[in-house]
Order: sequence, then C-alpha cells, then structure tokens
Amino acid sequence: MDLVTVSDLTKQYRNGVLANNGISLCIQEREVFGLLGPNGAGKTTLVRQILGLSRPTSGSIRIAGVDIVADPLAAPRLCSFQPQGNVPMDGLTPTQAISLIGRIRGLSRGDAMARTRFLLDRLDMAEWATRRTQTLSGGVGRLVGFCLAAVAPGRVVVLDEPTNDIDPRRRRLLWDEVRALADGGAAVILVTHNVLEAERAVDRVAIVDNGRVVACGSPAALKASFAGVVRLELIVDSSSGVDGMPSTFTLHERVGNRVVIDVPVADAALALSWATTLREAGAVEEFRLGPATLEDAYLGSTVHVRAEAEPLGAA
Amino acid sequence: MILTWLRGYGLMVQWEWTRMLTWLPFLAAIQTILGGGTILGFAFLVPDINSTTAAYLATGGPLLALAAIGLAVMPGMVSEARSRGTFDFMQSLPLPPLTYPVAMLAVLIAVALPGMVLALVIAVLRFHFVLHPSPLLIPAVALVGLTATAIGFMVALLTPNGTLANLAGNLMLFFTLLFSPINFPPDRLPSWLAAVHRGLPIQYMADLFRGTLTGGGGLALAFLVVGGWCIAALTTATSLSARRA
Repeated sequence: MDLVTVSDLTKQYRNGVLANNGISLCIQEREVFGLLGPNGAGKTTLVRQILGLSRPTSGSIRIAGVDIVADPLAAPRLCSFQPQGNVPMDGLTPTQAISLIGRIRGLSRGDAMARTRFLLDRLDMAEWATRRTQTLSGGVGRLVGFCLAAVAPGRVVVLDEPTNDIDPRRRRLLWDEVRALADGGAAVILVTHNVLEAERAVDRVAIVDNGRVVACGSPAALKASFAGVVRLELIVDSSSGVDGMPSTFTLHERVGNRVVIDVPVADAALALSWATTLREAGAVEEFRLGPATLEDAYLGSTVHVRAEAEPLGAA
Repeated sequence: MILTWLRGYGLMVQWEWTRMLTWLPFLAAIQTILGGGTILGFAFLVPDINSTTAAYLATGGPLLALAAIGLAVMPGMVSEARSRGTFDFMQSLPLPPLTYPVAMLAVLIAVALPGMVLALVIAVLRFHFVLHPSPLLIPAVALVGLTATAIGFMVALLTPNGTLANLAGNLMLFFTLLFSPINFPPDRLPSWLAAVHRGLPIQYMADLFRGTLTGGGGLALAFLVVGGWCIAALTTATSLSARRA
C-alpha cells in the first residue's frame, strides 16, 4: 500500500533557489526507499517537507491519507526522524536519551527501556550505553541518533545519512536494523549519497538531481540499461596504452591510468584472458571484471541531467 | 489531552535538565555572583542609597534576571539549536509547538533561582528593609518568564541566524535594563517614554514583583496587562513556529 504520496512538489526558497522542482513519488509500507543524489540536490529539502518542517511552494504530500501540507503538525505522530547532524545530548547517556525519546513518542517507561536495551544490544553498543555522550565519537553519536528514530518508530522513518562515520562492522548491524524497521511495517526513507551501500540496503531508489527525480525504480531496474554488459576495469601502466582490444568491447571512459571497458556478457571469458595477458606483459597493473553497479546508473543519470539543467542556473 | 501534554512537557524538562546537569553548578554560581554583585554594585553607583531606593533596586532584580533569560539566553540557545539541526529534531517529536522552549525556561529559572533569592537576602541585610513575599509571587514568576521566553523565541524564529538573534535580544535587554521603570519609578522618565511604557508590559512586570515581594496590593491591573501580553506572545510564537517557512 502507498503510505507516502508526493505529487508535483515544488519548493522555491525566498532567495530564488529552486530546491525541489515538480517531484512526484510514492513510497510503500514495508519498503526501504533510497533518496540518492549529489550534495545540494534537494534531498534534505524534500524530507523536511515530508516531516512537516518546511512548507512546499506548491504540490501535495499525503502520509496515510493525511494532508501534511494542510496539517504539518500531524507529521510528528506519523514520522520519526534522524537528522543529518548529530543531536547534541551532552550530559545524557545513550540509554537515558533513547529511552526518554521513546517515552516522548508514547512508549511506557518499561517498554522504552526494553526497546532501548534491545537496540543498543543489536548495534553492539553495550560499552557506551551508560557513558555520557559528550565523550562519544561522531560514529557512536550517529548510532545513537539512529536509535532515537528507531526506538518508537513512526509509520514513516526518515534517516538522513545514517551510516556516516560508522565502522564497517556496525554499519552491517545498522542495515539489519533498518531492514527490521521495514519488516515491522514502516516505510523507511533513506537519504544518502553513498550509492554502493544503498544498493544493498534499499528496495527502490529515486535519484534526485537539481531538485528533480531523474530516475526511480529498483536498483536492478535502474541498472537495466547495463543489462547484457559487464565492466572491465584496468589500471594501466601510464606509459602504455591498451592495444589489441577485441572488437566487441567498447571503451567506456579513461581517467588517468584507469580504463573502463564495456564487455558483452558472452565475451566475459575473453575479457578475462585478454586482461590476464596484458598483466603478464606488464601493460596492466591490475584489473577487475564485474557487473555494472547502481553507481554507474547513478553517475549516468546525474551527469546527464546536470549538463542539461545547467543553463537554468538552478544549482 | 492536558495529561498527555503535561507528560510530554515533564519528559522534555527531564531531557533539558539532565543535559544541563553538568553545567548546573557553574551556571548557578555565575547567576548567584551576578545577582548578589548587582545589588552591591548599585550601592557604589548610588552612594546615599535609602531603603526605598534599595527596595526598588532589589525587587527589580528578579525581573532583570528573567528578562535576561528570555531575551538574551533563549534566542541564543534556540538559534544554535536551529543551526545544528537539533531544532528540526525537537519539532519532529509529537509534542505541542512551544514545549521545547518552555521546557528550557523551567530549567533556566531553576538555575537562576538561587541567585535571585541571594540577591534579595543581600539587599535586605545591607539596606535594612523588610520583604513580605506573597504566594502570588509564583504565578508572577511564571507569567513573566513565559512572556519573556515567548518573545525571545519569536526573535529567534524571525532572525535568519544566531548572531542577529543575539544582537536583537541584547538590544531589547539593554532597553529593558536602562530605559524602563524597573529600578526606578516611572515619573523619572520623560513623559513620552512613560507613555510608551504604559502600553508595554515591562513596568507592570516590575509592579508584579514589587507588589508580590513587599506585600503591596492592587495588582489586578498588572496581572491583567501582563497576562494579556503573555497570551498574545504565546499565541504569536505558536503560530510562528507552526507556520514553517
């Protein structure tokens, strides 16, 4: 079921900056929905409006049938939120902060404490549980921020860059908890510019650039234009070129000594033996053969739109 | 409905109180030194101080402390919270609009209280006059604190950044401190400024403190005017924070 419906949303700031330009999206229950885009693309502006913190210039936002533009004060009951910056909690321990927010969001004292312990345990944060937060690192602050949004999750959970500064092991634990929120029935909106990570975590994704949605769908659908193609990446010896490239291969790009070549799937074995020969001859230092990633789709969409939208001066 | 609000408010006060607990001894010490020091300092400024003048100075003290909290501290704290994203987070919690600043006010009053009391005690001992505090002092503190906070909160919402918010708040505080009949009777002001003050809440706030501390009567008008300003300020601040740019 569609839980969040955004229609033709436009936000223009008083200084003329067009931060969102006709955005339409549907986000479903039990779905992790990624909002990807470069810095300044309008992602945070979009979620601030969904949270009722900022009023759109035009367009509509409905969450569970409630018109958030007409009734922004209904949003806090429906949504929980992890902002981009860490919420200062100096003086509070993670346990105190998380359980207090749980109670503010309607849990009983006992339930808030139980849920707090559960989350701290799942994210392997026991060693910080009762330590005052002014002594915590940025990454731990980020994890606590996630717990503040997850302790009594709204029907929509908005996470703005939740994995910044977090170590790789706890990142995985965090992604498990993000998935658990969706499995529990929430629609999770994940704002990030970390494309590779998002690819594994999201069900669907919208790529936002210059205030517009330039692509939307599952990571697999967005990569469809790369179907039948694998990528061969070569790190070449700067003095030599890549001579003798088989005719079915296409040079995708060359940046410095990094060469990216599109190879038809049928020729993957040929690519492997060709690259091995090049390495043995010393022309190539190393190589990697793999499927196209969401990052390739992402870079394709955003670069394309940037070139097209630049004359409007809306960046 | 009211119970839900009180529960949320209590939890928010708990959040702010625990957050400030680390700084509390320093803040309380500074407030105490300022409160006591102001009274002793005024005695140097006005050498032949009599007990009537001293009573004026002493009973004006609590109002100045609350004005400083509402007009100077509040805009600074709210602006900082806005620029750090804390304000967005607080606004995203299912609480009525002004819960966050009003919770801050409760904590700040608690911090300022020892200093206010000490200043009054020093004044009584040093200048030999008698106080008759009335129970109406409590609603007076709440009313004045809320009004000053709501005004300070509006300043924070209407100014684009913390520096301007601090500047605007301090300007208002400066006017309150020097050009308002708090520490002196209104008849010392030029007639036009006295007329301006008849429309502003400041002198009525001073009357509230003076009346409730010295046991004087006839505070109905003062309660009415300050109450009116309080409601107007809270309503405006609420609608401003709900307007959402």
